[in-house]
Amino acid sequence: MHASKKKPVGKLIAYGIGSCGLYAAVFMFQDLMMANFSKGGVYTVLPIATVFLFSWIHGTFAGTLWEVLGIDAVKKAPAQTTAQAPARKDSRPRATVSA
Amino acid sequence: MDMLNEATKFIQLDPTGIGFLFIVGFIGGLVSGFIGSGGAFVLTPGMMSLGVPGTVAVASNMCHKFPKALVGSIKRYRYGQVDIKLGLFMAAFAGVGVQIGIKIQNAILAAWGQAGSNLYVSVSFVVVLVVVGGIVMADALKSSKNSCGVEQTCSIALRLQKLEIWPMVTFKRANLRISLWFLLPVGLATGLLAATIAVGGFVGVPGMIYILGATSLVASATELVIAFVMGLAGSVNWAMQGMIDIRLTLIILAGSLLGVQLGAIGTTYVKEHMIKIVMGSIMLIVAVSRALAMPEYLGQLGMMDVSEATLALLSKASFVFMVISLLVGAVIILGSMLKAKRAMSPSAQEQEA
Repeated sequence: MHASKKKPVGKLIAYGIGSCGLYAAVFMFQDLMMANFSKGGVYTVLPIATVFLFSWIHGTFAGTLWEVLGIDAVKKAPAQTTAQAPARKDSRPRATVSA
Repeated sequence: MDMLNEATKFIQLDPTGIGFLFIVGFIGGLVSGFIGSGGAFVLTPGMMSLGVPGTVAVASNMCHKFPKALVGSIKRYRYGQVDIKLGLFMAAFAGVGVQIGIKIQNAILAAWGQAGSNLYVSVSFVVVLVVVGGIVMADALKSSKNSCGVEQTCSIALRLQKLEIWPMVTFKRANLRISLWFLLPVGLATGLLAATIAVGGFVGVPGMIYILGATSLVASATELVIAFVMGLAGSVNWAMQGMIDIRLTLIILAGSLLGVQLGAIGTTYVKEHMIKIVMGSIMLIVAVSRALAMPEYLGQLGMMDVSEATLALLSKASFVFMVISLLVGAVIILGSMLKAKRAMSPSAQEQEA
């Protein structure tokens, strides 16, 4: 949103390469993966760990992409806050001593 | 697992299938990031239409839901919208609700068979979506007329918050203090619905808004925590049975991680009642979709006489309505984001001045 803010292009490229690399690896070794990931038992950890890895690398890439494209949160939306009456200004004339 | 089973369980992927899953993943992610849930229900029938067996479709869909919810909730936590404590309490009770839901499902399956079970699921879908969706929509339309755009806490929730029944629990971020005895049924219902129609958030989010008294921003963001905890537990369970097709999961995730973050950003652009409008619209359109699926099960139970051609048409119409619901949600989200962004642009502000 702010034109003056530096866009994280380097971060986007780094995570973009990481994300592409991960996806390329999956489709190159898909037979090997499918054979082991669906074994169940202790192999359960493989698909779960994989999605965590992808959510970190690809998730960061996706978040940075929106940032670079200029689509960023416009305000830090506050949670429900208790409405507080503004402090009243004392507008009464003050007693002054003029000696 | 024998070779024949291996060969039939996991499909060959073509570019069309990959493109379809990516796009549905993106739109589903966008909706989930915005309203907290409800973006993934098109994926299971969508995958099945590509030839994926039902259980693999359910398992692969669930395995994409929890990382998506994780990324979405981290994003919304940064905006100060997530109450982790509320999410964990709800997830714990929802876990119990899921077990109750499974018991009910099994009892119905034993008594009336697969068609009876499907009918029960469809009737639950239609009743819950029409009632809850109707309430959400009516409230959304009412608050959209409220020019100040500030959300009012529901009077039922305020009354329940005043009842001091031990043990009372305080949720700082959601800014509410309520008895555990009111939290429990909302959590249980969320889990029960998740086990029945696979989208617990359709009850969880309205429950947190209207019964507990959270704002729609906090409720929809906190739902992502619930979805993460429940999705992770469910995925571990499916992975132990070897039912997850990791390729499908990762393709959907490629789109949904983009969508969920855009949806989360979208919540900071729009007025709070937009969350209710999107949720209400989706719920009501999905209700139509499920109502169209009911004649098939009524026919199987011998309660209705329908021809094969009609059933095929109804089944297609049902899927189309499901896709429409997601598209309507996405269009409202993107449209209101665009409108808000235009209003905030320097030229628009100059005109106002």
